[in-house]
Amino acid sequence: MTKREQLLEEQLDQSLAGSGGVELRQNAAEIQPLLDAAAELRRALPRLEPRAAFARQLESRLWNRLQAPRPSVQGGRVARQPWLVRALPTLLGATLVAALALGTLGVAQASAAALPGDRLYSVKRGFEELRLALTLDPSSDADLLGEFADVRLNEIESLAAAGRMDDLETALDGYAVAIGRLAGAVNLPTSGGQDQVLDKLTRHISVLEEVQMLVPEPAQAAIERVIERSIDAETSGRPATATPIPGEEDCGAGASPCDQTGGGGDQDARMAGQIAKIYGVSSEQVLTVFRGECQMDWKCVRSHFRPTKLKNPHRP
Amino acid sequence: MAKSVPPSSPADGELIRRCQAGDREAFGELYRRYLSAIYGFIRLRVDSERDAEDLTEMVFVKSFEAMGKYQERGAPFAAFLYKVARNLVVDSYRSNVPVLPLEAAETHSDDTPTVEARLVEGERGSEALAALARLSERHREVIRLRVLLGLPTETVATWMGNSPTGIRVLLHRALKALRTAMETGHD
Repeated sequence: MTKREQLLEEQLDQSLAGSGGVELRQNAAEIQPLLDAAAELRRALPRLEPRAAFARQLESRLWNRLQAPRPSVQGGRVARQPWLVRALPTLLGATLVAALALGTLGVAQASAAALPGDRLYSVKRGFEELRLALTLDPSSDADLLGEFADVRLNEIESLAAAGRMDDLETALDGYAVAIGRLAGAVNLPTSGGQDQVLDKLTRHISVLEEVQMLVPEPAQAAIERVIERSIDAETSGRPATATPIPGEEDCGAGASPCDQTGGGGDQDARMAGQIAKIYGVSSEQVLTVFRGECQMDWKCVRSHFRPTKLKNPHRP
Repeated sequence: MAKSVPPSSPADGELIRRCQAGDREAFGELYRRYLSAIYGFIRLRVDSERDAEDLTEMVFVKSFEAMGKYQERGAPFAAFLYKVARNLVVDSYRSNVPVLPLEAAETHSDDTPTVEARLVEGERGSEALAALARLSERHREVIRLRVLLGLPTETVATWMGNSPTGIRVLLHRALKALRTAMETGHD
């Protein structure tokens, strides 16, 4: 960091604090126009503070919500049952899957909120498999697999929030399987198109990174493995397609500009935009890394921009 | 605008532990510490005060419910709040404008008017805001967080996944780019 950057920091802090009379120092002449630009920006914006009434009401609502008991969790863990009782859901699941065929959809609704470790969870999974088995249209298959991947992700979020780490492992296993099946369906026609599947994977990675910040280290490592799986699925579904401008074919180490027109360029720009959004960088930066050091490998680009603490959750 | 944490104030981890033990005062302090920053972060990106309030509530509900099992393991609570806020803003663009590409959530096209975008177009717009809109996203972000929201450098560093020194360097470059954009005006 240079003296100018340090000086800018100090003077900006004084300006934000509303104190005037900034001491004239070396480099101040260069810093002043930057402070003026910052001040003009702040003057142009409206008030960004929340309404006082909103702030008070939200605080009260949040506190009440936090104090409300959570019926599905007993001291952060679900009480363990004897093996026969635990085996019952499987038997019950088989029975209820058969019942679904006869039209008893109410049971499906009853099990919909079940999480791994809950009694009705196997029933829920059984219904899912049945729905998949009854689907003849490949596009419906792909839609269903996407829906189930969303469900698995929601289960991970719920279990992490509840601190049910043993069951979280089961949920992560289930999610890895779901993502593998979804990745296999990337090339199938879907009602929302291939991009929708890939966008879903991108979104999932972002949510998993969020969950990863909440769980203990062993679970962080397990989530990291699942994130890697998702990144594999996401990036293998987005082949590098950028085409070089005639005469500037080398889009590699020199990071020369490549053509972004045409379908391939559009896909690259879209992927770059999504990665840029997630990691708070510009699309241009992403494309430069993509075409430069990563040599058209989106998985490499993902790894490049992921924050270090997320890449290596065990590292302090 | 956003509260910086005085050195004598308890750290987030301490407040969270007290919250988990049912300390209402600790909860209130933690909430007030980040309310303005999160609200302002969202308000800059959505069109209405109502939307900003709804999204702010969702951020705090989601984050504070997860806080029940939160333990400090290197990922600060503030960074988690920021991540949740960013994801919810993107989700709101998805649900309100289904055909809008994800990238538009950051570039704020004409279909997604925000406080910034409307001020650039409107009477209250200034050359500085128009210039801001022409910067790279990373430059815009550091200016929004550090200058417009008034967050301390350390908080901005945590949120943006950078070091405080890196943020100071980035801010210097961003303000220089802003100044240049203001001087050159529209191409």
